Amino acid sequence: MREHLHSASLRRDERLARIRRLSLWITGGAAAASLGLGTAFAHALPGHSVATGASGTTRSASGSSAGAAPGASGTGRLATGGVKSSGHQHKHGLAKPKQQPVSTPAPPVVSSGGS
Amino acid sequence: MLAASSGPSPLWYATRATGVVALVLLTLTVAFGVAGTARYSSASLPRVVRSGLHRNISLLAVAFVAVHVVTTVLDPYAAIGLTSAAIPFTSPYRPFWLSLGTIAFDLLLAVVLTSLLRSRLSYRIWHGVHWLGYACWPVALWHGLGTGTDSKLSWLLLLDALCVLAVAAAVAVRLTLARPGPRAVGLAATGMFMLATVVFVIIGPLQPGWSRRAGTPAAPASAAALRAKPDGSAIGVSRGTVRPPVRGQEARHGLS
Repeated sequence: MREHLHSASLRRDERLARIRRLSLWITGGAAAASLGLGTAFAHALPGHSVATGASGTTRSASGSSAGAAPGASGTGRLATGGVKSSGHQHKHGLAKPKQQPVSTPAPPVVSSGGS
Repeated sequence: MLAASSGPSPLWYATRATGVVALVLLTLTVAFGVAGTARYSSASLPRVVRSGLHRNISLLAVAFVAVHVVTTVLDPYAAIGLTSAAIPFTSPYRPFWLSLGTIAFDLLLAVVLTSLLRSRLSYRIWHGVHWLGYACWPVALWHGLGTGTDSKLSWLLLLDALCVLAVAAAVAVRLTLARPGPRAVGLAATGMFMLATVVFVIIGPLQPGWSRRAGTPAAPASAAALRAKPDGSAIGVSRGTVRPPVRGQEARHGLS
């Protein structure tokens, strides 16, 4: 009788352990899948590195682009049509500005007050 | 403000990812639950283990749905408030399809609350509410198909199909134990649901222009486009407006 109870107890413990083990696996899998999917969505969003404004031209996604990946905000990644750019690319890929900064042609004319 | 002006935030990706995972978990919950009513048992999956998994996976699904709802509310992309998350048909963003998610969430909450209070409720009430919980799955599935940003992705369609097949298989197994009359009705209902889902996907989300037909506010997208400066940089938009879609989003939302 005691052996029977002991074996039943062992069987119950084994089943509870199996539930716990399977639940942990499923929880881990769900968490990993969630993280993986989130990352995949962030990187695979079509055109997420291509920002289209009103002009529809390709431009920098830094801080202004619609649909840019959140990781892109503030990183100033250069967008090239449909090509994903990695986070470190901007360090080497930034092109020089085509136009020099406009210098002030003349100092502002200061007129003495009329009074 | 910043999030709205700098593109989809991590919350938006979290919303979509947790939504997909929650649907899979709900599918497992329903499949295990239906298998439970069929008294299914095997050496590899004894009844106790199956029952325990049903309970644990359902709690996990609730947790993922909670994260899905919280990230949706916090994210400014679609401007869905707490009220819209709890009360159906109060959201300006895809009202019907979003409300399906709200209804599924409410049903899930009812099941969880009645399960927590099970000792204080009669079995009949608890069982009735628990049966309502099964309605959560098809409603959540259609919510995902109708609202989901990624409904057109082939792998996601495949995943949805697998979810439908898993639940249909579990229901079919369960119906083999039923009497001939209810069995025929159940099989017909299951077949009708599968057919309706396939037809809906074909004539709905897979068609161009689904975004507008689904009820995505047209004004914010165009207004946001107008807010872009001539030099191409967008002006920051405040919470409550939708950012201008990028090319891929336009295509997926049928805006192009």
